Amino acid sequence: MFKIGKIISKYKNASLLILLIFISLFSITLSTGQSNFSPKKIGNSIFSILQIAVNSTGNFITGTFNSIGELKKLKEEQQILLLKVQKYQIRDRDFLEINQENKRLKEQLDFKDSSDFTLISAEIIAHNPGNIFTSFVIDKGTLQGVERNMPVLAFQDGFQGLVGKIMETSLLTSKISLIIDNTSYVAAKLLESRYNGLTNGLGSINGNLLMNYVSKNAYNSIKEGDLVISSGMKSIYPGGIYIGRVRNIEVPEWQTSLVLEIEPIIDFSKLEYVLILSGEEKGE
Amino acid sequence: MNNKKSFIGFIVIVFVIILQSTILSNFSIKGIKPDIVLVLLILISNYSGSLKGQSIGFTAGLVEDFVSLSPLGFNALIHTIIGYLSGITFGKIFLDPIFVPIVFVFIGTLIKSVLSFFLLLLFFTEKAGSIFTMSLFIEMGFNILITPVIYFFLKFIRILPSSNDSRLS
Repeated sequence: MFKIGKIISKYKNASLLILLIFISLFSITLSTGQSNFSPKKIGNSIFSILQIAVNSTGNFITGTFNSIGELKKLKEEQQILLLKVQKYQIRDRDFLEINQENKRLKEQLDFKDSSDFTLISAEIIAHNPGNIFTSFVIDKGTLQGVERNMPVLAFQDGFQGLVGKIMETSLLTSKISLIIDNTSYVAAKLLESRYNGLTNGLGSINGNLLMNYVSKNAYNSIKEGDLVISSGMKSIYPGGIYIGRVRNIEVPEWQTSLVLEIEPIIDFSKLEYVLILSGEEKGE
Repeated sequence: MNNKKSFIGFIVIVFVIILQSTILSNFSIKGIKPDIVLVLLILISNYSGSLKGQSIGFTAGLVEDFVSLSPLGFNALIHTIIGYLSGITFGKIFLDPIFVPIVFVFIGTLIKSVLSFFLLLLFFTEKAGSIFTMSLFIEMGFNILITPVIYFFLKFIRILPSSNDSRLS
């Protein structure tokens, strides 16, 4: 026993290094499990408060400077927007009529109403600090009803696009694993030709996705620019949400299926707000 | 480097981790960000020795794990080893403002990538292929570019000794 103590004190640096490596490996093994209670969750809750504070301060400073310059622009934009509002009021009336008609037709076809979900809106307050894992941190956590595996969407350029799913939650914040991450798989289908496949991320925030397992029979029915949506099959993601557009079609000779390169519908580098589908039924 | 300076160095690293995930998150080329934390750790450890270097690396890595989607211990392990290795040169190699720090950061980025690759191979096999790609070269270039800036910043806030101070203080 005495000898071990002597060796440790003699090789202080190496002993500490071995101890820290052991703690890290043990912690990785714990964290990659599905446990609800982990040291990572506690630390995450503490440091998320710091992230919220720094993000708010940054937003306040940049917001104050920008607002002075934007005042002039706002007046001009207000006039344009007023005209647009009038246009939209007319469209809104049309939309209500079409929506009612749509509901009646759906009832006749016995479709499930897709608006069974409650939407939780959230702001992105932080990104992953490194390059290996692609994730966003949002300002809603378990206190606001966010749970692991809830699907996350966003509206951008008129499309309701799939962003990813909730991977980790703390009291005040949550982390989203994006569909562009290498570990992310989404059951998808081509909107026009209805062929099914599976999308997988390539791990870069500006990168595309790959869609595998699309039947080779589909080759003549697919063209560049075709829209890809979630199919909802055996998946946590509901069907009908836009994923991206076909940018390239590969026909590997050694495979029985096509490989499609998909450009995500969402530009993740300029995303600011997201919507979380909570899965609870909407109160009437 | 005395304990007070090492502690301040650690606080700077933690602050940079928070900044890098929030305000500085758009500071990137093709979505690839520089690893400011790695550069800070290498420079600070080089003046602190391997005992302090690995301790700073471990705790800073843990903070990075808390705020990222990586499993707890992933960055802690990588930064512990890099802190330890950077500290080995304490008192043996003297840092000039540009060349030696750049060489250290170049080697440090390579070691980080190799360690990441093996950890991903063990715990996230599908991610392992994304390490040795173009993104590594972009990150390395980025890290090398910011190294002299960070070196002078650390000298300015007196975490690294100025040329008048004794190196072994």
